[in-house]
Amino acid sequence: MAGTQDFLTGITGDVQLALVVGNTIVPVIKGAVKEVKALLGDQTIDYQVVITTGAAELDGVVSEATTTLQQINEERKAAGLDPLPIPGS
Amino acid sequence: MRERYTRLRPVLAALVLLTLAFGIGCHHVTVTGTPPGVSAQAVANWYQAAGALKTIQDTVSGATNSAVSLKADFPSASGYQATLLALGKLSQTDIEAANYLKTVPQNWNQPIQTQLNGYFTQMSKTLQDATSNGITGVKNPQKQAEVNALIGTLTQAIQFGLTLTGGQ
Repeated sequence: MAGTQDFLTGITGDVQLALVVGNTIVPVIKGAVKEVKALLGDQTIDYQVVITTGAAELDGVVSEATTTLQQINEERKAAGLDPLPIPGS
Repeated sequence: MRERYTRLRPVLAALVLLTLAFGIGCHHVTVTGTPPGVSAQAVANWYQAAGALKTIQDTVSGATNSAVSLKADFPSASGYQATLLALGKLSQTDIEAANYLKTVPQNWNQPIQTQLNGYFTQMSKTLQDATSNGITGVKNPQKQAEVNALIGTLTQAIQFGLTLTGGQ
C-alpha cells in the first residue's frame, strides 16, 4: 500500500508494530511477544505469530467494546433509555 | 487528578507513541512462513485491518470515558446521550467487524474487502453523525480540544480502514 510503512518501536520494554499513515502512527500489534522482539534483528515476522497475535488483538477489541457498551448502557439506564444490544451476547 | 489523567491518557499515549516511533526510526517488516496459496501481502493487510479496528476501539473507549467525565459540560442532555449513542454504535460495529475479521485470517479477496469496507463505511457515517450531534459542543475550550484530538485519531483510523479495503 502506497504511503504505508511498517514500524517497530520499543514502548516501555515491549515491542509494538505500527503503521505510518500520512503523519499518524497507527498501532497494529503490541505486547511482549518474544518472537516479535526478534524482529529488531531480522525485520521479519512469522505468519503464525501474526495470526496468533492478531487474533488476540481482535479478541481484545471485542472485550474492550463490550466493556464500553456496558458503560454506555449504564448511562442510558440512568436516563431511562433502552440499552444498546451487545453483538454476540 | 486521577480523573483528569484517565481522560488524557489516550492523548498522552498517542503523543508518547509518536515521539518514540520517530526517535527510534523505521524498519520494514516482512511476513514469512505463509501457507501455500496465502500471500504475505494478504496476511499483512489482515493484521493491518486488525490494527485499525484496535485503534478505533481504543479511541472509542477513551472518548466514552471523556464524554462521561465531561457530562456536565455538554450543552444538553440530549446532546450527551446522542454522543454516547454514536460511541455505542461504533463499538457495536467494531465488535461485528472484529468477529468477522477473525474468521478470515488467510484471505484478502474482494468479497472480504467489500464486507470490511461496509463496516468502516458504517463507522465513518456514525462518526459524522456524532460530530454533528453534540460531541463537538462541549463548552470548555480546553476539554473540547481533548475531544477533538480523539475525533482526529478516530477519523484517521477509520480512513485507514477504508483505504485498506479499497473504498473511500
